[in-house]
Amino acid sequence: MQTESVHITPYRTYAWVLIALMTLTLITVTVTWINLSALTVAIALIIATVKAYIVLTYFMHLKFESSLFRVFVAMVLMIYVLVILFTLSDYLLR
Amino acid sequence: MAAVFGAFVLGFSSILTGLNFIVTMHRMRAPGMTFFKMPLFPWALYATAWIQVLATPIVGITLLMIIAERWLRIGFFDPSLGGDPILYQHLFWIYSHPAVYIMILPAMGVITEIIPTFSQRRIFGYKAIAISSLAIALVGYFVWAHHMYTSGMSTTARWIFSLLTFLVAVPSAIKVFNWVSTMYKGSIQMAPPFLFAVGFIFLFMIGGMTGLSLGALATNIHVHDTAYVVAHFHYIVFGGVGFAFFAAVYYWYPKMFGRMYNFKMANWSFVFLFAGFNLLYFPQFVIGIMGMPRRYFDYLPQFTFGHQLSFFGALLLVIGIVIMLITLASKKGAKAPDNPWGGRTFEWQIPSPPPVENFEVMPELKENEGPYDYK
Amino acid sequence: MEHRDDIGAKLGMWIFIFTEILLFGGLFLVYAIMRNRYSVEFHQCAHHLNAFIGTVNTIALLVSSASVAMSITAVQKGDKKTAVILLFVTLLCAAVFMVNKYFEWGHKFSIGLYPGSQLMLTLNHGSIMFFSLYFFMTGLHMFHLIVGGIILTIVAIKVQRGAVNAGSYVLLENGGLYWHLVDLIWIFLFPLLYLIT
Ligand SMILES: [Cu+2]
Repeated sequence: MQTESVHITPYRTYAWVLIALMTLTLITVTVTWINLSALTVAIALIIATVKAYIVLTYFMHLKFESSLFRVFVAMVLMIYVLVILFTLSDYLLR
Repeated sequence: MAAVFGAFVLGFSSILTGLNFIVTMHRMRAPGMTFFKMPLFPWALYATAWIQVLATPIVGITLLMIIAERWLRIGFFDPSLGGDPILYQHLFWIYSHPAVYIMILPAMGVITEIIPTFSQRRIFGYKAIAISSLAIALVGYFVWAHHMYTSGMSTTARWIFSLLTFLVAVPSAIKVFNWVSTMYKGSIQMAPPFLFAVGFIFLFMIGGMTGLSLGALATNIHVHDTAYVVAHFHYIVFGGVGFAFFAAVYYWYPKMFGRMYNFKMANWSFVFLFAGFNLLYFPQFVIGIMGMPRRYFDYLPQFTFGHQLSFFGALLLVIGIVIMLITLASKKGAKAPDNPWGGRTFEWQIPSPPPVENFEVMPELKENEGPYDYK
Repeated sequence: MEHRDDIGAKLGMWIFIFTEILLFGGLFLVYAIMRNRYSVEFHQCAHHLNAFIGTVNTIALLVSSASVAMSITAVQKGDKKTAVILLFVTLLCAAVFMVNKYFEWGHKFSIGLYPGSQLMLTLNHGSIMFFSLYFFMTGLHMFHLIVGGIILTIVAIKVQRGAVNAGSYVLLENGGLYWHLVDLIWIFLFPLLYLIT
C-alpha cells in the first residue's frame, strides 16, 4: 500500500497559510470594534468558516488526499448543517 | 451519574465498531470484490456503521451535559436555570431515532442474504437494495422530531418532520418489494431460516404501515402515548429485528458450530413465536386506538379482553423461545456440511466451523461473478 | 510481511474526527438556541471575557497548528532535528494557551464566578446560560487540547527515536490531524464567545 506518490508540502506554503489565518483573525477582532449590529455575528461566522476551510484544505491535507476524504467531509458537514436547520425550524418558527 | 457515564463509555464502543466497519469495507475487501459486488449484508452494515459514527456523538455530548447539570449545576436543560427541556428531547431523539435504524438495518441485511439462498434465485434489484440501505440511513437521520409532535414544537417543524418520516418509508418499501420479487419463480426450500425470514417480512410490513399512521400528524396526536405506539414499536423491533436475529442464528448456526439442528423443533419454535407474537401485540393496536395509555399496569374494564389476549400471546412467545433455546443447545445434531443451504457468499466456501484465519487462500471474485449467482 | 495500510489509518482518524466534530456540534446547537433566546444577555456577558487573551490564544493555536503541519514536511524530508523542534514549538504554544486559560479561569473563580457558585445562581437566566456554555465549551476544548498535547509528546519521542521516520509517519499525520481539530474548534469558539460584544 506504499506505492502512492507522497506529496511533500513545502514549508513556504504553510508559512503563507499561517499568515493568511493570522490576518483573518485580526480582521475579525477589528470588525467587532465597529458596530454592525446584526451583521457582527454573520461576519464573524463567515470569517471563521473561511479559516476552517483553509485549515481543512492545507493543514489537514485534504487538498492532497484522495477525493473520498473530501466527499466524506462534505457529507458530514452537510448532515450537520441540516440538523441545525431542522432544529431551528422548530425554535425560530414557534 | 455513574450510569450516565457508563452510557457515555458504551457510546465509544458503538462509535469504534462503526469506524472499524467503514474502514474495513473501504480498505480490506477481497480481490475482485468491488463495492457493488459486495453481499448486501455488509452493505447494510456499512449504512449502519455510518449512523453509529454520526449519531452516537450527539447522545455522547447530551450525556456529558446531563453530568454537568447534576454535578456542576450547568443546567442546559433545567428551566429554573434558564435551560430548555425540549432541547433535551431534540438532542436525545437526534440520536435515538437513528438508533432504531442501527437495529433494523442489519436485520434487513440478514433477510437479504437468506431470501436468495433459500429461493436459489439471484437477488432482485441488487443495486436498489444497496442504495436503499444508504437512503434509509441518510433520511432516517432527519426524522427524529416525529417523537415530539405533542411537545409544543412549531407547526412548521411538525409538518417537515412528518414529511421526512413518510420519505423513509420509500426505501424500506423498495426492500420489501425486492425480497418478495426475489422469491418469484424460485425453487423455495422451506427451512427454518426461511420461515423466520418470511415471518420477518410479514411483521415488518405491519410495523412499517402502522409507523406511517404514527408519522401522520393528525393520527399521531390521537394515539400518542397509547398502546398503539407500543405495538408498532414491537412489530418493528421484536417482529423485525428479533425475528431477523432468530433467522440469522438458524442460518449461520451450522457454519458457527459445525453442527445441524433439529428442523422439526426449529419449525415448532417458529410456529409458537409467530402465533404468540401476533397474539401478544396485535390486540395492543386495537386497545391503543380505543385509548389504552402506555406505561400503566392498571386499566379500565373495556380493555380487559385485549390484555388477556396479550397475556396468552406472551405465554406462547415464551414457550417458543424455550423451544428454540432447547433446539440450539442440543448437541445431538449431525455434522454440518460446508454449505448446507447452497449459499453463494464466501463464508460457505470454507469448512464448518471455520478454521483459524478463516480463509487459507485469499478468496477472489472473478470478473463476471456476483455475490448472488444462483442458477 | 507486516500488514500496513496508511490510508486506512488516516481514514479511521478522519472518521474519528467526524465524531468529534459532531460532539462539539451538539454543543454549538445548544449555543445557537440559547443565543437566540438570550441574545441581549449574551452580548452583555461577552464583555466580561477578555478579547485580548482570546486573540493571543487564537494566534498561539494557529502557530502550533502550522508547526505540526511543518513537522510532517520535515519528517518526509528525513530532517529529524527540525521535526522535533517544530513539535516542541507546538507543545510550547499549547503551554502558552493553557497558562492563559489558567489566568482567565483563575480570575473568574477568584471573583466567585464558576459553575454552581453563589454568584452564578444570582445572575439572570441568560447570563447563567452564557457562562455555563463558556465554561463547558472551553473546558471540553481544553480537555481535547491536553489529550492532543499528550499524543504529540508521544509522537515527538517516537520521531526522536526514529520509530516515526520518512518511510512511516502516519502516526505523526494522525496526531497532527487531531491537533488541527483542536484548532478548528477554537476557530469557532473564539468569535462566538469573545467577539459578540
Ligand atoms: Cu423514530
